[in-house]
Amino acid sequence: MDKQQLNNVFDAYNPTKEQKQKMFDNIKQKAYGKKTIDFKKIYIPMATVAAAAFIFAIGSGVLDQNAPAQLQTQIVQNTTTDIAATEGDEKSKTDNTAFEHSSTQVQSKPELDVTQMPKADQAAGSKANDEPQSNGGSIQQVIENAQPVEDIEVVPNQATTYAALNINTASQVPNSRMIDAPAQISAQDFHENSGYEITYEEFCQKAGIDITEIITVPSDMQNITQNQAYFNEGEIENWNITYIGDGARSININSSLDANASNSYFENEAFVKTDINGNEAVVFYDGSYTAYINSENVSYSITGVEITEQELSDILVSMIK
Amino acid sequence: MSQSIYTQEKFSQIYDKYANMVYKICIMMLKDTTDAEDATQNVFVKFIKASREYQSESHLKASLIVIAQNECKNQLKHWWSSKRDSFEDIAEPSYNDNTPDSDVKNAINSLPDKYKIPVYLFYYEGYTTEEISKMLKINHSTIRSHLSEARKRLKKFLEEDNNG
Repeated sequence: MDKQQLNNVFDAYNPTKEQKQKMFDNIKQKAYGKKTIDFKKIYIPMATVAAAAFIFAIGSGVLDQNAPAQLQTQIVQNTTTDIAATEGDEKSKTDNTAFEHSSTQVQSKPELDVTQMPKADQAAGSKANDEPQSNGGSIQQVIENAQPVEDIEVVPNQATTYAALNINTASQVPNSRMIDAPAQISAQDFHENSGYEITYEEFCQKAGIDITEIITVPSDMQNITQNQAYFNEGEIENWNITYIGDGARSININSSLDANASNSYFENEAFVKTDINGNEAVVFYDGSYTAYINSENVSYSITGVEITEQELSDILVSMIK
Repeated sequence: MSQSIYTQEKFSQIYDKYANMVYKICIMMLKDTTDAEDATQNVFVKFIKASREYQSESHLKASLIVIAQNECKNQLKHWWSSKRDSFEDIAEPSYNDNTPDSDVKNAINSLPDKYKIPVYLFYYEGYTTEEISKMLKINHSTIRSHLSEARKRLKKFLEEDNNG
């Protein structure tokens, strides 16, 4: 086998002219063509129908105006669930969650059935039930407050679309996200699995991860968690997700967490999720049932530092020597 | 999305220059033309959206290689890919053929990705092992051992092919 043969082989992998042109057109469309989803179109009809059902229930005497708030909530939520269910299972989960969040402004919070939840979640569920219930506002206000947001779909069972960001609070070292390839490995895992004392800096050095330039997460993300999150310079690129909202809309990723749960999830742990357009976003699990997406046009991307099991093994061997 | 520093005209030039390279990495890793097309598109979309200035042309090229590799790994990790693999394993990869150099091509196709990409970058793109090491964030010694192992495997494959 000579060099020319090798070159011929690699040349043969080139795309055809037609393929190249097709890809070019698609890229231009995706990158330069603006595509937005107006959630008002989705949510307002849902809210309007729900409101109509609510008013009808009161007007027809089915529901007394002084009925317990919880019952009223049930009626509104049942209505919206039925409507949302027609959008498809996963979509309806996301949409319904978003609407539920808005509806808590005017309706009392429904009780969470903690008996149906995994153990770790039961504690949080009980805590949520103990929280004071919100009051005030009107359905009209909810409709008026509805904001168009980008469609963000959280798909369960996709362990590959997120990577855990382990926060090592004990040693107060900056955390780093390392995408699994194939295994998720963190400095903490490394320490626990190897029993070897190693600092985060040493670990990164051994793993060939550049931490000379550490970029802090924008302030609006930091506010979400008690712990500051840090990313390595090389990890932050290509992420551009536009989130236009009131900054408080929540995304329920609980089902995803359960589906992917091979470890415990801790407060302030963050995950990278991918939206339907392939954009990635960091979401923080706050110990309850919601995870908050960072808000307001944060334009960073995380493509990840990857380390294979073989590389980890190489690092271990080199340390033992 | 905020305005990218890459205007459509500027992007066209970059695409013309590096589309083949990105696609080649994608087809080598994903072994499917449709998936490779999707991945190539995603790589360039991410590149445009990142809107990063690069110190030099070589930095830009290296960045595209890294993004392409990450994109392919992400696709391979996706549940759909992992499920579908079991069906595709039955069929020969579509790019295996009997054209001249097909034995070499099949030999390269037979290499695991961790060897294939360093071979491509080293022999075709002309990167040094040190540059590949930095680019792929893999230890220098690992890259060298991967290349060495790849050579051994290629030799063995071609010998067996000739004898067979």
